[in-house]
Amino acid sequence: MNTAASQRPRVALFVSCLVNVFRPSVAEAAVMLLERAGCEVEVPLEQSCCGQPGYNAGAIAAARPLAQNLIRCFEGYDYVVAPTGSCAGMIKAHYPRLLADMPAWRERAQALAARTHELTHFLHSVIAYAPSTVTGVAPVSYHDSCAGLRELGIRTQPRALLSQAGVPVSEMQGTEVCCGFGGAFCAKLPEISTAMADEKLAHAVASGAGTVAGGDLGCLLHLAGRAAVTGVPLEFRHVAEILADAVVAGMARSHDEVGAGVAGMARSCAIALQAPRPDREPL
Amino acid sequence: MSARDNAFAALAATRPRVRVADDAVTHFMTRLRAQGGQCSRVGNADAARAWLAAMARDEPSAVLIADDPWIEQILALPGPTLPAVGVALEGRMEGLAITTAIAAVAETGSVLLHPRAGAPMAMNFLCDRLVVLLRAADVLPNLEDMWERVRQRFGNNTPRALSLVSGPSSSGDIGMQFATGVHGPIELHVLVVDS
Amino acid sequence: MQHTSEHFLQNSRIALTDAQLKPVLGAVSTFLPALRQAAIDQTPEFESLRDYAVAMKDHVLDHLETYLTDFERAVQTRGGAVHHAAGPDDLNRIVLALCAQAGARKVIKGKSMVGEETNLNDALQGAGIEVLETDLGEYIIQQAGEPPSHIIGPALHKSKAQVAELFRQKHDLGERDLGDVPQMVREARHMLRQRFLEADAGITGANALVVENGAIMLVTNEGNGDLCSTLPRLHIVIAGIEKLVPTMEDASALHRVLCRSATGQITSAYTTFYNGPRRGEEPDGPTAFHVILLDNGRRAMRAGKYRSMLRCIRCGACLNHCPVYRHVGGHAYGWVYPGPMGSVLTPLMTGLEGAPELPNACTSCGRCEETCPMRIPLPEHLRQLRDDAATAGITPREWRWGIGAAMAAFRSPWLYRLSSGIARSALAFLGKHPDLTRRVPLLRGWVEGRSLPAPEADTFMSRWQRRQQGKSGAHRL
Repeated sequence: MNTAASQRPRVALFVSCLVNVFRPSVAEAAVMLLERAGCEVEVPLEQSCCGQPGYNAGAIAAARPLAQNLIRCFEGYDYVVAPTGSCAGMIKAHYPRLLADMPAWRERAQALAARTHELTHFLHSVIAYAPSTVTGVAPVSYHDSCAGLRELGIRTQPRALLSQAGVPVSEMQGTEVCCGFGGAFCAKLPEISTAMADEKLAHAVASGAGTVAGGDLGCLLHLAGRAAVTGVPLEFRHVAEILADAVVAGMARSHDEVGAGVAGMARSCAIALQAPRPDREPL
Repeated sequence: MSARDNAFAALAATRPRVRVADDAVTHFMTRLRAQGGQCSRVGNADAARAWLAAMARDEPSAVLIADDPWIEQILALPGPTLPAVGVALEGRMEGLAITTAIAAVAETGSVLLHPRAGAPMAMNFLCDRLVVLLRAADVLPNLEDMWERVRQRFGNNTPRALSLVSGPSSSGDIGMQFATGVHGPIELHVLVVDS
Repeated sequence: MQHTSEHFLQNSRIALTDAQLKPVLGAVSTFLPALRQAAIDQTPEFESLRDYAVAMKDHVLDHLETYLTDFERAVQTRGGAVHHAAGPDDLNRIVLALCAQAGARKVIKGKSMVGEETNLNDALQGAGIEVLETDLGEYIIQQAGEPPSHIIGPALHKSKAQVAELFRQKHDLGERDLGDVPQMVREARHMLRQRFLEADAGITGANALVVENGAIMLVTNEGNGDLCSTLPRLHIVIAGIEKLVPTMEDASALHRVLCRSATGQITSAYTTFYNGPRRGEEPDGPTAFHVILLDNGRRAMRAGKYRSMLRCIRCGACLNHCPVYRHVGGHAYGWVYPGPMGSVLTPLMTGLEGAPELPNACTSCGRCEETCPMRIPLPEHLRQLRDDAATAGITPREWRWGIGAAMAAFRSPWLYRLSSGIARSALAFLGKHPDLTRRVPLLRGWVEGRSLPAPEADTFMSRWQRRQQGKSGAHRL
């Protein structure tokens, strides 16, 4: 093992269910960005759902074993990073409360919470990642997820990263108002949910931006799904994808050697093949 | 003292105040005006007399005057007679009402009114225009200061009603539009007298 | 008032298609938060004011029974009386008895949510007593025969034009111009003035009950509550037991956060402390002063996990900031209390079975908790109520089983990866056959008005796993 590698922070990527099922490219982008930022990234296969769906929809007790699983799974890493405010918020804001009656687990939950970060916060405020830059990119409007905003204080970080990357941000009105996703809410109360989406989409269009960027896939899929039906001319991208696109564009410009397996730019972002990982230290 | 009272004493010691930046009278007048009340300041009783006469001169209906030694003192000074003085302080009590406040609070822009012989509470709420005379020295910075003054003055024998009046009667109930004179006085005028 | 909370879904659908309601609710949800923010911007101490109010209320709740005893004694010392009502019927019965005792046939009322909890007006009218709501918003909805839609501005769901039309219908005043709000207000003042003077009894709520001297604090902008408390010979105060505060200074502490949070005011026009019947030489005031303290589920709340809900001071900030309230308005919630606080109180006070959808009317956006002056963890309470609903079998089976099955499966990492893969394939399939999606229980809500997102070719975990397994011969960076 070379010395440089062992000084790099060991980051576990917490994928999250929606990213895993719907947009793996977001996780690939996250891995690329984290590695570019100097981290050693692993994706522990023992990870599962954080338990939020049950926790929020009438199955609080069933969320406990899932919390315990994630705590075990992520122990031993310097950081746990998730490309979602909602799931990172579940760990940071809710795990200690969920396990409040089990003192040993509560402490482990608090320890995990302290090391867990949403992706943009980690990149900007923890590891001070300097994004690759692009020019001539059309403005995006940033959508703040409620969990990211209120549970984790995510607001300036993604905007700073985009700005540093040369991506202009055109603020929309009402960024503090919920888009209407709300987990199970969007399926239980669809009329209210879509009314909320319509208002958010109108604000996004009024901002003049053609793309809505965000850090939470639930919000983006909900807004994109509604925009498709109502014919609102907006694109929806996860901020990780936008930043990763800038990296790939930079590589292409400088003819950087990235090895085989770099995909084209297109809609998803590319990811480089990685060097084999040293075996993980036993817990 | 019981455990409860001990706990409360510790808690009450942490009660925060709202900072009143400028001098109390200035702050009071600014706040009252921001809340839709009107406010003037005069130097002495003679000026107060003139001001009251001007107020009452334009009043189309009755002028109701609370029975108060300070008001009596002011009205005894030379000056034009106030119209319709001495109307019975009962019944509809519409018109211009003149009373005094025992204190005012700068923090909230409020005057403190209370009922006593010759000064019914109802007058303060039924009149169309309420005029309140106030000594500058009685303007206190915070609500806590006011309560201390109340305790000093009344002890355990507080009046039935202690009312902090901070503007005219108003409402935003119709389309959130601010309107005055919703049952209570349409206008509130406070005259601060320096001495 | 009538309880229609079990029809929340139906009610909210009606509200969403009400073209008159949309701009009105939009204005409420924009204007009132802006006013609150402006007041807070002017108050650098706001967070410490909030902290104190929370600590003070928690202290009172810790010692509620002894404080209630002391309050009662203080009221009696000053010549008043205190009555205890376990539930709505008790409260109404006591009010009727007091009115009968005083020979009261005409009652004027200040705005009281407790009175709505007990359907007091119906009880009074049933006994042949004339009841007039004097708060302008309450007067408007009384004339319209509607329930309140907002706890601070009960008629905020009505446009100016609708109020003008209502006054034209109900006030027999011939031809006149009611084009602007001052004209309507002048008319209401005129219509109500004589009735204020003729009333036998005044019934008000209380924003706080002060233990040290048995006083009540009444916060209004109109002064109508003061007229109700002063003109008639009988003054009845109806309030929940949680309204107690230890001293006058503590009442002022509540007043500071209440006004800023409710209407963005530093203070209301009238904040009055009433303390027993008329004293000594006072020329006016009631000769009888009665306070009725209502339980109606409050002690039960205090004993359990929903205790912090008793810190609520009925300011309405949560309503003004709730995105769900913004779209459906207050009537959809079906009972006295709408919005986030109503979604907690209605099930707790009237039963979860009768309001099963209310805890679901929440996206956990957290704005309510953020703006609550009393730091009530509303999203947490709603989450707990959803849990209670599932435990009680009230949540529909498809949701309980669906969520339960998923959570059980996810306990095993390989089963998680497997089911994620299956879900991905199923969603890819359904994306091509959207009509089938309507048949899938938990998904059918999604496709109402949205298209189903198309997944990628595989899940991230399977992609990563394959990549890790095929590591031999991998290139170095």
